[in-house]
Amino acid sequence: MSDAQFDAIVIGSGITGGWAAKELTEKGLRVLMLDRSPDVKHGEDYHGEHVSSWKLPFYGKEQRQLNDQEYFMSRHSGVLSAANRHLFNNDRDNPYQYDTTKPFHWIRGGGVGGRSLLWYRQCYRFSPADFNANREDGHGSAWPISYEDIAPWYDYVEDFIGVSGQAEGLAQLPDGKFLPPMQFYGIEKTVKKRIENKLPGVNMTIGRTAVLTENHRGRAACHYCGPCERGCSSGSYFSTQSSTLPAAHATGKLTLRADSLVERLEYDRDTKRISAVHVIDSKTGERLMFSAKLVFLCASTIASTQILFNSSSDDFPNGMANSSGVMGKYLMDHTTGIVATAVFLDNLDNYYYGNRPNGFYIPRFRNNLDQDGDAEFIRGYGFQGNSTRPHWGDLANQKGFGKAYKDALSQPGNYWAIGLAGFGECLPNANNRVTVDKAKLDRFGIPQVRVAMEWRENELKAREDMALQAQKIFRAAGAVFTVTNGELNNPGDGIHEMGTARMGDNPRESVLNKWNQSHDIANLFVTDGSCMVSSSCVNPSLTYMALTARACDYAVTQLNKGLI
Amino acid sequence: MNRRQFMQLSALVLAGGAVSGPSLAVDQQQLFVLGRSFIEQPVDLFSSAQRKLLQAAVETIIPRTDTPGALDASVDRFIELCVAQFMTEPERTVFIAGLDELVNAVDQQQSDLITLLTELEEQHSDAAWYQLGNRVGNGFDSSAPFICQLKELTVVGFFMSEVGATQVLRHNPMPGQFDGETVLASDQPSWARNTPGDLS
Ligand SMILES: Cc1cc2nc3c(=O)[nH]c(=O)nc-3n(C[C@H](O)[C@H](O)[C@H](O)COP(=O)(O)OP(=O)(O)OC[C@H]3O[C@@H](n4cnc5c(N)ncnc54)[C@H](O)[C@@H]3O)c2cc1C
Repeated sequence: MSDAQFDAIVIGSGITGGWAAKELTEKGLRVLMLDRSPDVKHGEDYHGEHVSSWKLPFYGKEQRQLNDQEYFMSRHSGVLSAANRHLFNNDRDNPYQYDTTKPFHWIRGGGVGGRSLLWYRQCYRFSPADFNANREDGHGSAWPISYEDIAPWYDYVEDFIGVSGQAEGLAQLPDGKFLPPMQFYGIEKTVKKRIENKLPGVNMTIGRTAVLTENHRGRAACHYCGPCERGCSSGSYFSTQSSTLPAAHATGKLTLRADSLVERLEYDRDTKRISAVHVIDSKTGERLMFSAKLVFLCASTIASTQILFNSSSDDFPNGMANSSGVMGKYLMDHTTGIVATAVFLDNLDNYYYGNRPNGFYIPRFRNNLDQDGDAEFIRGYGFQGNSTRPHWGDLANQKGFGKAYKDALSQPGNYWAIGLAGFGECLPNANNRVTVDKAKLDRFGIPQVRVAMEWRENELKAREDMALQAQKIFRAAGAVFTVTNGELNNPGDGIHEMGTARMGDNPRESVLNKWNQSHDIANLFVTDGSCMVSSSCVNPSLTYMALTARACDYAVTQLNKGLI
Repeated sequence: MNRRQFMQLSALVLAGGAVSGPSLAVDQQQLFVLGRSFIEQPVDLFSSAQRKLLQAAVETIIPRTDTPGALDASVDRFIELCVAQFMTEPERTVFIAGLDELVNAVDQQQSDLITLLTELEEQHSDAAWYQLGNRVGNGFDSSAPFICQLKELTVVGFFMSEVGATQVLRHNPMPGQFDGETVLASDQPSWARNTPGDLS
């Protein structure tokens, strides 16, 4: 293909790649989008959508043997099933390395659209304090941007993707442009009232989610069938396929090439630019090369870092765009996992209609304005909560047979259960890092990623505090019974991996500038989670989207000025 | 392969053509598109004595009342498929040994099935399976004794089946809206589930 064919190459078609393709094509650029995975056509390829329980293998019980052998990481997502297996990475075919005593779970998508088809869709803005945190307490390095820099881009992204939620006026969780909020369960209203009465500073709001509560930009409101992660032909949740890809295609300027694994980028010393993107067709093994004026790397945090390390050359012996030497370091995720579950005997004459694909949220309430006197950790965490009226699965593990057992299991249990999952901020630490292992090649001969990450003292201390506070919250909420869970998920299980090519003003301490542009190479932009400087405690994808849109705007301006 | 191609494929199958899927995933997609239930596939693991006992056992656990019971939902077939394909070898060994013990006990007419099952349950009452907080979901407790394995698969095989989901529970695949405060009438069955362990 001739050099003149494309103005920009976007690597990856997930949440960030989809945004880059939309923005760049809408600004008039001819874009080639490359993804290593097979194509997934909107609607047509959601094979498991609305499939009845009795058609699933083992009626939906886990296909353990298959998962043990081929999906041993994907299974940790909690949403892998026969109904969406084709949207997940095959972990046997695409291996990576880690120390088995300190596992890191890398959970990846396996189709075009990446994890945009699989995500849980929670959308929260980072707060002004989040962008100041590193500067103030000295962990990691300072963000080169403030909340004010990104706020208009949050507006822009929310308006396009459709985020339902309730404005609360909280400094630690800035409001956005929301569609009408989803409803609470009756029990949640009861609990919210009690908590907010008894625990000043603790708030409870409905989850802010990229699921439509009304028709929006040609996409239909949610029909509440339940398992979004199987794909949604009515486009009721944000995915590449439902939102950014149609917008990019509508310009007539997008070429999407699936099954196109980017092996490495090539640097031209004379022009000081990326001059070529080297691709392996993952179906045929054929090697191809593409060129364009701009390269947007959106392959997701770890995969983008891998590509840059595997693009080392004489000019960049330690990895492309890594003159600072910080690339691969400061990998972050969120600590996750159910912290506590409680039983409530209120609102027992309430039931529900429809499957709400969303929970509630208790925003950060620790160390908010100042460090709390009784907190042995810095920064904070939020709780994502889910309520259930017990059904047969929750009631089965009891003694008994016959009619009484059958009747008890056929009806809703006589209580409500609420679970709180903690999402804790992870401090940037140079020893949490991604490298490549030249001795371990994958099936294409590409050096594999090696990930080393562990939770450190601050994360562990915060996790202990979560258990105490969850009990306090449940007590205030009127629980009759609470169980706490000491187990902490592995790094990676948060599926919010980020930070390996951080932004910064100082080129000696960061990989990217404040526009997600490589300090070293003007036509290289990295806009997935690898750019992150700190992790906040909120789900990060909304921030990745806003940064991507902002970077595209800057890149095209620079291009038009002839500066790239 | 996309849905359109599947439709063509399914036409072929219905016309009597043979289909051999290139991979498990594709086989699964065929099942979805053909609209077949999981239990509509051949399995031949148990002897007729074992089958007979299993049928009696599942119907004892979930009998037909004014609504259909375990046998109406072919729970015995679901279990035979699960023992053959879902269980690990050690789990299968436990299940088959347990089933054979029951066959023998009933043969020797020591007592009736419900008494035998109740005894088994008492014997294993300290099994982790019964512990508070445990639930029947997507996974499986590998340490579960036979009686717990049997109950778990009966319950899943019943409430996730077409008969259980649509005639015993309430099945509404397309609610169209969400209301978190409907009034719960007495004797109102639960909603059917999308998967045994999902949150919604
Ligand atoms: C179950 C689950 C729940 C989640 N819930 C939330 C949530 O509630 N809120 C939230 O904010 N985030 C959530 N996330 C995380 C969210 O999905 C990710 O943060 C987001 O998808 C990252 O976007 P991305 O574009 O960087 O990567 P992805 O969406 O993963 O896309 C990367 C794409 O790049 C492609 N690629 C990789 N390597 C190469 C290569 N070498 N060459 C070519 N292409 C390549 C991949 O095939 C993939 O399509 C969740 C994730 C999962 C799995």
